[in-house]
Amino acid sequence: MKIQWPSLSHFVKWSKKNWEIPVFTMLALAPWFYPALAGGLGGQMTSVLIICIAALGLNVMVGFTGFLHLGIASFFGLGGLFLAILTVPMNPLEIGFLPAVFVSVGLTAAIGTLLGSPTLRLRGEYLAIVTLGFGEVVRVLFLNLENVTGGTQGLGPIPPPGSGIFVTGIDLGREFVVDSRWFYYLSLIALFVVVLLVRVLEKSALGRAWIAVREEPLAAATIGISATKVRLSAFTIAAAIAGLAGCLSVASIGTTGDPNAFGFNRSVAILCAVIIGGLGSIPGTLVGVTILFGFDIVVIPSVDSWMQRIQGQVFDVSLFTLGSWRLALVGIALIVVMRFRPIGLIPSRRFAAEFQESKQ
Amino acid sequence: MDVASFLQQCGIGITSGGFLGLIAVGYTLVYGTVGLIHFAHGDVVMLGGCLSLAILSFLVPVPVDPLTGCLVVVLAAACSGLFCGCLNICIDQFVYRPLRNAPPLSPLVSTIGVSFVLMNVGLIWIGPTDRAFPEIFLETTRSVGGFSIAMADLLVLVIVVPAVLCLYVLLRQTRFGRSLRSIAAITRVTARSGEAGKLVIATFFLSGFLGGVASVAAGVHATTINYQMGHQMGLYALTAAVLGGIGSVPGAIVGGLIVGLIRAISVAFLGPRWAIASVFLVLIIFLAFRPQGIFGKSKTRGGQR
Amino acid sequence: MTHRENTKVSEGAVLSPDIPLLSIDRLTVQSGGIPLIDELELDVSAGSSVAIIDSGRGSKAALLDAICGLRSASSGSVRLDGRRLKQGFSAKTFWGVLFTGILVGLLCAAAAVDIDRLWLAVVKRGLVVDEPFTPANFGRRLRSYFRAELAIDRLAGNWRIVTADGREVLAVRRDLSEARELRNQMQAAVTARRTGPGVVPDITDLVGDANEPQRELLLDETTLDRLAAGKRRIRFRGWSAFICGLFLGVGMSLAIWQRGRRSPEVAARAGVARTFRSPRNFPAMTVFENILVTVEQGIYRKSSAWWPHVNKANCIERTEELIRSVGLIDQSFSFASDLTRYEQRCLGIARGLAMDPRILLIDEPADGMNTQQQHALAGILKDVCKGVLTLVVTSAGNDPVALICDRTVHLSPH
Repeated sequence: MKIQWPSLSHFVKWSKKNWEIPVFTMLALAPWFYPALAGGLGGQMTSVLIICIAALGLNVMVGFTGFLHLGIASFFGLGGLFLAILTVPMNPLEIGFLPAVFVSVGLTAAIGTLLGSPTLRLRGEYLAIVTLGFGEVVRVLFLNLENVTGGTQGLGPIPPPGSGIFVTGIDLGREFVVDSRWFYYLSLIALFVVVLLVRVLEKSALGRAWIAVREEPLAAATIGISATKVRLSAFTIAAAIAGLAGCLSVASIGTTGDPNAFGFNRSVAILCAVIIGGLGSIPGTLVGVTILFGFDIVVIPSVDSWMQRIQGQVFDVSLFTLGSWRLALVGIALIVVMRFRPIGLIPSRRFAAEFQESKQ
Repeated sequence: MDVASFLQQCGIGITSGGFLGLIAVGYTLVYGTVGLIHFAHGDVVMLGGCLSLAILSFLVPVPVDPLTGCLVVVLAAACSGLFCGCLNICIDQFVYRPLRNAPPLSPLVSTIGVSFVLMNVGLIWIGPTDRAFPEIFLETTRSVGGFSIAMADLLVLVIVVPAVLCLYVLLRQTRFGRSLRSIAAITRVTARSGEAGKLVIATFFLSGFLGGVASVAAGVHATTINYQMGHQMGLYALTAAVLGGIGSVPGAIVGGLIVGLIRAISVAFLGPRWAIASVFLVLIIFLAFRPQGIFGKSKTRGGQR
Repeated sequence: MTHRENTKVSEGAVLSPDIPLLSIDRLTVQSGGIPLIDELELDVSAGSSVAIIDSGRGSKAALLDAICGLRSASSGSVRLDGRRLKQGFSAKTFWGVLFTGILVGLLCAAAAVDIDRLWLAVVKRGLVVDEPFTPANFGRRLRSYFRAELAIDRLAGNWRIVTADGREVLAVRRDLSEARELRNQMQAAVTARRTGPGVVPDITDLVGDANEPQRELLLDETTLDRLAAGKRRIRFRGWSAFICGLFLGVGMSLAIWQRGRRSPEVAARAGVARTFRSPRNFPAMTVFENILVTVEQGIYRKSSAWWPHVNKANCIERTEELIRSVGLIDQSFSFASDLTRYEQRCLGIARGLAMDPRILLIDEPADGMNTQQQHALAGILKDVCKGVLTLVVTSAGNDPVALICDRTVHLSPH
């Protein structure tokens, strides 16, 4: 009896199709191999994972449906704000973490629907400006409604998930605060769920309608797809996913903090990450976010401190700090990637086909 | 709020709307020819402001009489305009041109990249805090017919009005202007070749020039510049361009005036914190009733595209 | 533009039952001032097929565009089953417009009554004075905000008497019960002032340093008047903002609805399917997906439920059937952009059929095809459509595809 061992090429093919399983397994096992994840690095990786979730939401809007959305960070902020309002001890409501997440995601999605209904009939560029404006309005509201949102200080401290829950004598809430691996795993699970959700949506009837509207809006209209309803569904789902990411972010940081973190710069950074990774492609989005934000959050500070050390040794004074050129480095990275791979790093099959088609 | 101060506030609004309109024209021109929202335009304007700050600090270390002041400011505006125009051309040739055939949203990422780079240059040039523009005139206000007009506003008008008039003449009377107006959107392929390529270069230069002139006006009006000024003003200017109908030059100017007016009125009644919210709310409400903007063309319906 | 009609009766054709399925009445379509179609009148009965022949370029596409809502006609009407292809003002539209109006009104009212201060008064102040957050307390505080009553606040160990929105501090006391009593006195005075001018109560406060104490009247005439007017002011603001917002919201949603009334989706929902001369299939979707999405949308169109249940197996079966009927079974899983022009035409026809329409408009199917392909297309149309479906085929001349139709209509110039 001959046993047929799966060859390496089989494994590679299977991985490409079901890439989530190896990737997420590796990420889940990482803390065992890399103990630094229990500390600061874990917090940074958690924030990258959370931004991945928001980026997937944006991908639904920009990648699948093809509409430019310049205000995703405002929904990110709204989700976090609602969570804070519902759970912070300063406010009398103080419902638990999980119900608060549900309610804030629901409220954020409702706001997405409300904003989307009058505006989604507009042409692409106009819609982009409207989302941009909405982002600014939300930022201004954050800053000025001081009693509701805490102004520049933000609302805090936000009780961590599981506070008050005791499992075998361990206070879960305290664990979340003390050991950053708990939030890491929470974000990882949330990201996995969102990835599966987006995959299911992509293959569903709704997903096909999104893609149809993106590719040929005229033909889609003539087969009865109401472009507005389809875009509205995408907009709402993007808002909901971004709201979820905002909840996690705010919970992991502990306060809503600086409302400028939910502004145009953040929206634009997430958009760039999605486009660099490859529009409409889920692995592309994850890679794009990891590269862009990982570059910004992790690489530049460490390279900078390394450079300071070397300059200190050689020149006794630091002449050149990388930190002050951070913006320019990110900008140059964006320009270079787009110059040499405009379709994105891991483009989806569809986009590659569309690009070929439009080139002819 | 009495009538006099309301009118004064409106006056401030219209003058700020003037230079917002010039920046908005920059956005609209680029969009009309290459179909791209040039997000870095605001930062180009900001760098023009940095240059004019340097020039003015050098030429006018102490306040001078009105005539010399005006001449100096016009000189600074021209230099700043030239600088911004050339910068715009460089950006187009090095960054945008290779991407004429790229998938739709990729050039957008490049514009954002350029914006970041320019913002960083501005940060290094003038530092992270506000920098004050030098006092140009000896007297800061002058009363004309009962109203006191700030010299700064007068200066803004001196810069903006001739610029708008020249723009009008350029677009209506010259061959370049006519070819610009007759092109709805150059397809990406043809923009490489000779005639269309020259047109694109001229467009970028013009939008940069207007932006540079506007930056001097903005600096004089606000009396400070900041490295993030590009983003903030760019936002207002882009709103103005959209309100007027993106792709239409008169629309951009009118849109700029309206946005300036709304901003001033909301500052007067609600306070400065709500300015941007009012502007966007007006935009959304207007677009619900007229989605193509004031002068924009409505969506062409038909089998042909 | 008059039209000459050649009625060619072939065997088995059904001739004009009572109400025509499609009736075009004095339709005029202009493009930049030039009439492409001038006062056309045409009736197409159910189950019949009409070929519209015109040698010019623009009119045929313009006619089909006008029928399916892609282009607006300058005058005249198109009716399907006697009804115009315009979205009517249904109950759903009414409730949607009303809901939007009320929502916008509420938002405006919230902004006008200063939601920030409202939150402070209703939510935060309760915590500061250690009152439990019960629905009764919540309601009470909400009511007192809208009555512009005075409230008690705490700052650094002192009890303050403030206006409901927290803007004005009227008095400070160290003891809570004393503060409460003073507040009741002041509130009584304010309430009395609302009913009519009366005596200013003698409530005074000790100010100044210990050596020169002075008595200051806490509630003088102007303050009392201002506080008394507060209730009317806040209610006026709230209601006027609500009404303005209501009108604005209703206006905006009506404007948006009005623009979308005659759009291709409305025609498609009514059962008009259309193919394009330059095939507009979804390029980066496979043939299978192209047809599948159309089948699914057809099912959505037919069911009036909010979230229609789509039977996946049925859809897949129907998709395969359609692919087989146009002969694209070998290319099921290639992208539509990779197909030849003939195959794309077939795909377009299959997509039109997938909608399960009542009338199928086919725009110049013979354009760019060689004779063999034209005969193949004619065969497909004859097998699948004729007699079952109402067909309108446009053509530049008498080609095999047009010849299968029962009737021929020539659009010729004057």
